[in-house]
Amino acid sequence: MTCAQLDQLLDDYLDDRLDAAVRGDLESHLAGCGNCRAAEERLRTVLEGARRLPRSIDPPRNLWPEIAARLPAREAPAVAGRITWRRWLPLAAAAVLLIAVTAVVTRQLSRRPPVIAAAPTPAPTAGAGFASDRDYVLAAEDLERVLREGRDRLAPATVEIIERNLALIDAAIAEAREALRADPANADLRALLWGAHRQKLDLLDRATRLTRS
Amino acid sequence: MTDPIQRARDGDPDAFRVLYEGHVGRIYALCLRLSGDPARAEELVQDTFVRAWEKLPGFRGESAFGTWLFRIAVNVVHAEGRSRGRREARVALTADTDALPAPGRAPDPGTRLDMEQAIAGLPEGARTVFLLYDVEGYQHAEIARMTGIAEGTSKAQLFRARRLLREVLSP
Repeated sequence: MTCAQLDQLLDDYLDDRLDAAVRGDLESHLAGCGNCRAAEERLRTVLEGARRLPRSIDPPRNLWPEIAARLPAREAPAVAGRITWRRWLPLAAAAVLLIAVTAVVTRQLSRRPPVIAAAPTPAPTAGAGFASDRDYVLAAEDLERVLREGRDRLAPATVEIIERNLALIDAAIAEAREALRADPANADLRALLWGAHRQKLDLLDRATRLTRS
Repeated sequence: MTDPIQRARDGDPDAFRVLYEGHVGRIYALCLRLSGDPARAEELVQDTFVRAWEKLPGFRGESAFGTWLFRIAVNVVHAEGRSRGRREARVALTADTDALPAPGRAPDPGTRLDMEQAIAGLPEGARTVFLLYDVEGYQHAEIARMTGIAEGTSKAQLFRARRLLREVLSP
């Protein structure tokens, strides 16, 4: 095998697409050719670099409100599987209550005079770089700590609503986790789990900002 | 077909939001890398999900929902790119490296940033196939269905992309 031939086969070699005989010839050539070994190393570096890139990047802001505003209405179905709907009811309830909390928080914030003090240290945001269930849990724990420290500055009714919503979202997270344990490859269950995590981070983020205002 | 997809198909925007939450990170990453511009990537993500909502009644579950969504995103990005012109996007990416994703838990920012920039400099077809094959893990047959190119073209574009990256990333 010549260097030029090897160069043409290098991708298939690293993708493990060569039959045994060709692979053997190629490896024999590699063993005795420093230039081709260097080319192989460069390609391996490219492929490993690609594999290390994050496949998911959170957008810097929540895009859903603009998307939701653009969705054309579609006629709702008369029947939607009752059992499966009940299964996700906690998540739906959490979403509805989250809207209520958002309204309360927004109303309270809008009643307050502008804050002139120096800007507080920003809490972790419900944003970038969450690659696993544990990442979300750690981010939520940070925000929960901040919330615990500042909860005395919130009205009791607000605390009650926040805690009730957190409990509902936690129940949804637990339910999604349990379902995922039974069906780990189910991307939609994972989507539900991620969605519930994001709702929790969003709620905690808003609540902690309220404690500092 | 699982419940949130079914309910979103039937017109339930709350169910569609659940799908959005679960997929937005991967769609944004794809749009950011394909367009090279964070602001445009946000618009492209929005267009992708609006288009997905419109097309959802036709989704029959023949492919995974994520794959189906990727196909829509690729088409949205390419359609927008054709009308805008690709040169502008490349300049934007090269000039705004801060907008590239932050390192993950095992930081190797120099290498990764180099990689992102090198990918951004690839020609559009090669970049698309490289991202779908080597970053996202799709096979050539799936990429061909997603992008509307022949399987052989997908292989050729991948070969070209890797060749260019080997050159660009050589010490």
